Amino acid sequence: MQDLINTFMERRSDLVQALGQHLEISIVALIIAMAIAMPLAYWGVNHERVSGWLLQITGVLQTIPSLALLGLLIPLVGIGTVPAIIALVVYALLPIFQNTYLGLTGIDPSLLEAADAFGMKRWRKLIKVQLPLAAPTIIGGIRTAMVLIIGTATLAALIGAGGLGSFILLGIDRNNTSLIVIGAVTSALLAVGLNLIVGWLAKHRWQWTAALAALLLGVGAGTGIARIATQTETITIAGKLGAEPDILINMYKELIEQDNPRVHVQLKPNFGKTTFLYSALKKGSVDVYPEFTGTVLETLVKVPKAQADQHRSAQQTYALAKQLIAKQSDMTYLPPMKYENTYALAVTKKWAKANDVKTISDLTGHSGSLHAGFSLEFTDRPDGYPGLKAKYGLKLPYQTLEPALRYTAIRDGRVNIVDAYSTDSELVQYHLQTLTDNHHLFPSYRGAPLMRSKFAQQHPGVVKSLNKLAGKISAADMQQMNYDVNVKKQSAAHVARHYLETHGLLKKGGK
Amino acid sequence: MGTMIEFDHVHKEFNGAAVIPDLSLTIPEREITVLVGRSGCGKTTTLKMINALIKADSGTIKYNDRLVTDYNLQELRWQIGYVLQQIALFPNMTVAQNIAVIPEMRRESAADIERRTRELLRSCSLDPDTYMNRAVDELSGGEAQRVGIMRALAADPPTILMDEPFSALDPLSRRQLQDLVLDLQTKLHKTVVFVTHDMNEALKMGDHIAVMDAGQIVQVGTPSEIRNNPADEVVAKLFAGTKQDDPFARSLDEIVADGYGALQSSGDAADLVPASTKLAAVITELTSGQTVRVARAGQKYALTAGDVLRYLTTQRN
Repeated sequence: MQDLINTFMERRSDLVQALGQHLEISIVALIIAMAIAMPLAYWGVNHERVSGWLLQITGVLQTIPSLALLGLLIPLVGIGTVPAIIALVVYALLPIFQNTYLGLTGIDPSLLEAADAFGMKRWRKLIKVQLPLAAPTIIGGIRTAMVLIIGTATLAALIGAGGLGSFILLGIDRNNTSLIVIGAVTSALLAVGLNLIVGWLAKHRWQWTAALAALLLGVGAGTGIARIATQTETITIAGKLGAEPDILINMYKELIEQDNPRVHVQLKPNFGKTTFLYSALKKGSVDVYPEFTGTVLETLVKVPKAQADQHRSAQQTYALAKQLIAKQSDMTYLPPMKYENTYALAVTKKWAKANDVKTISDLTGHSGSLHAGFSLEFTDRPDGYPGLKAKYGLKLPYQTLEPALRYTAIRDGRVNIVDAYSTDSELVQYHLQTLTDNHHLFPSYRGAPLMRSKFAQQHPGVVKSLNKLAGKISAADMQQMNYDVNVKKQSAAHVARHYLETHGLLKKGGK
Repeated sequence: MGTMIEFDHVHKEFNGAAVIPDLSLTIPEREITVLVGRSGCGKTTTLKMINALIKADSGTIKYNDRLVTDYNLQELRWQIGYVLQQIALFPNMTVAQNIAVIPEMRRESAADIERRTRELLRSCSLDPDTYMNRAVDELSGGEAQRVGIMRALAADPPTILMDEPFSALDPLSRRQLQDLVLDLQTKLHKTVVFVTHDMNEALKMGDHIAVMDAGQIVQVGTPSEIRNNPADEVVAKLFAGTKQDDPFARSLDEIVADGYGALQSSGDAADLVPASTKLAAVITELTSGQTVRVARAGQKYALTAGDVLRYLTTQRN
C-alpha cells in the first residue's frame, strides 16, 4: 500500500498527462463515432434493409479482438493516435448506431404523423420531436460506447498513442504492480465518472450534453488546427520500451529543437519492440529512432554468407550495419554513441578490487572460487557462456536465474559473478563492475539514430544535431542515467537535459 | 354557402388494391361534415388526403379553390388543424408547449401565444394556472384530447380535421367532448371534417353526413335525411342499430353509452334493471323522483330524471 502511494506521488504529473491523453483520444473517438453512427441511423430509419445490413456490419466489427484491430490498422494508417482513435470509433459504432436506430424507430408513429400534419419540416421534427423522444435510448447507447472506449483505450498505449495504458504497460515491463494498479484503477474511475456525468446531464438537460459535445469537438478541432498552423514541421521520434531509449530520444529532441527552431519534435516513448518500431519507421509514421548496431545486423538486414561468422570490432559492426541497411532498405544510420549495451560479465566492485580482476581473462586464475548466476538465455547463446568456455577456456559452476533475480543473488552473496547488460542501472545500484571483454567475445551493440535516407537528405539540420552525440556517453554515464530514472525516479527528460548541459551540448537554461 | 374542399374523381391505391376507386365530394365551409362508415371503408384515407398526409394517385383535391398539390405544404397544413384518434400529444412537452407547437413555428410572440393558450384552456373548462405547465402523462384521456383540440385550434385555422377523435375515450368523456366541440362550433364556425365509425356520433355531430362504403360515397345528406330516407340497403343497414325516432322507445343502454348516468362502485343488486329496458318502461319511477339503477356490461349506473332530460335535449333535430 505504501508502495502504491509512493508510486502515485512520484508519478502524479505523468498520471495527469496520461489521463489527459486518455480523455482526449476517448472523447475524440466518441464524438467521431456519434457523428458517423447517429446520422447513419437517422438515415437508416427510412431504409429498413440497409439499416439491417449496417447493424450486421457494426456487430461484426465489434467482434474483432481489439488487439487484432490495432494490428490490422498499422499497415494502413501507421501508429500513434490516429489508428487508436479509428479502432475506438469502430468499437463505439454498434451501440450508438443500434440505440439511435431503436430510439428513432420506437417513437409512436401517431406522434410523427401529428408532427407532419402540423407542418413541421424535417429538421424541426427531428429536433423538437424525434431526438427528445429517442434521447433516453440514444444516450444509453452513448454511455455504453463511452465505457467501452475508455476501457479499450488502455490498449492505445501499445501503438504509441499514450494514455493510461502506458502506466499498465510500463508496470508490466518493469514488474511494478503499483503502476498497473494505478493505470487500471484510474481508467475504471474515469469510465464510472464520465458515465455518471453523462447520465446526469442527460437526465436533466440533454441539450446541454449536446452543446458540451459540440463545444469539445470545436475546441479539439481548433487546437488541432492551431498546432498545424503554428508549427512549420513536426518530427516524430520513437523509442523502444525502457528507460534508456526514453533518455536518448529526449536528448534527440533537445538537440534538434535547440538547433532548428522551426522544428517541433514529437516523442513516442515506450513504443514497442524492434520489428514494430522498424515497420513504423519504414511506413513513415516515425521519422527517427535509436537502434543498436548489433540489432541491425541481427534482425533488420540480411548479412551475406561470406561475412556472417566473422568477428567484427565495434567500428566494423557499425560500418557493416550502415552499409547493409542503406543498400537493402534505403536507410541512413548515423554514427553511434560511445557506450556498448551488450552482454557483460559483472562482479562486485569489492571482489574485483580484492582479487585485482579487470578483464575476463583475469578470471582464469580464480575459477575455483567463482560461482555464477546466469540468465537462461546467456547459458544457451553461442556468444554467451558456450563462447566464454571456447574463447577464454573459462569453466564456471553456475545456476540459471531469472534476469531480475541475478542481481539480488549477487547482492546477497549467493553467487559472485553474473551476466548483465552493460548499461543496466542495477550495476550502479548494487555496486557492480563489468569486466573487459578483451577477446571480443560479445558482439558490439552501440546505439545510433536510424532514419529513412530520404528524411536524412531533407533534414540536414536534424542530422547535424543528432551527430553531436556520436562517440559521446560512456557505459558508466548510461548506467548512471538509467539508475537516475529507474531507481531515483527522475524523469527521462530531466536526466537527458542534465547530461547534455553538463557536457556542453546544450545551453544551460535554454527552453 | 361556399365550398371549402372539393374532391374530383380521386383515386388511391395501396399495394395495388384500390382503397378509393373514384371519389367525388364537396365539403361546405363553416359547417361540420361527418365521414362515416365501417372501418376500412376509406374514410380516414379520404381525410388525410385533404392535408396531404396521403397523396392521391389521380384526380384532384381543391382546398379553398386551389389544388392542394399547388400549395406549399407548410402553408396548407397551417390552415388545417388536425386532431388524432391517438390524441398524440408530444410527451416531451407540457400542455402549454403542445398547444404552442404551430404558433411557435409561425413565430408569434411569446406573449400572444400565452394569452391565446390561456383563452383556449378556459374555453375548454380547464384552469390555465393548473394545466399550463402540466406534463401530458398526468392528464386523463378526456383532458388530453381537450388539449389535442386546443392544439388544433391554437393558430386559428379555418379548417379542422378530426380523425375518430373520441373513439378511444370512455362514454362520459366522449359525450362531454362531443358537447364541447358542438358548443365551440356555435362560436367559431370552422369548416370541420369529422371521421367516425359510430353512427350515433355521426348523427349527433354532423350538419352533413357523407356515408362511405368500400371507398365510395353512398349517400350525402343531413342527419334526418339519412335516417329517414336511406339511399339504399347499405345505408339503411348501417343506421339500423341507431337510436329510434321515438326517444322513449330507446333502451337505457343507449342513454348510458352516451355518457349519462353516474357509475356506481357499490350497492346491492336487488333493484337493478337490465340495460335492454326501454326508457318508456322506467318513466314512472323517474317522474316520481326515484333513481333507476341500470346494469350494463358488468357495471352499475344510477340514472336520474335530470340525466334523462339532458339526454333528450341533445336528441332534438
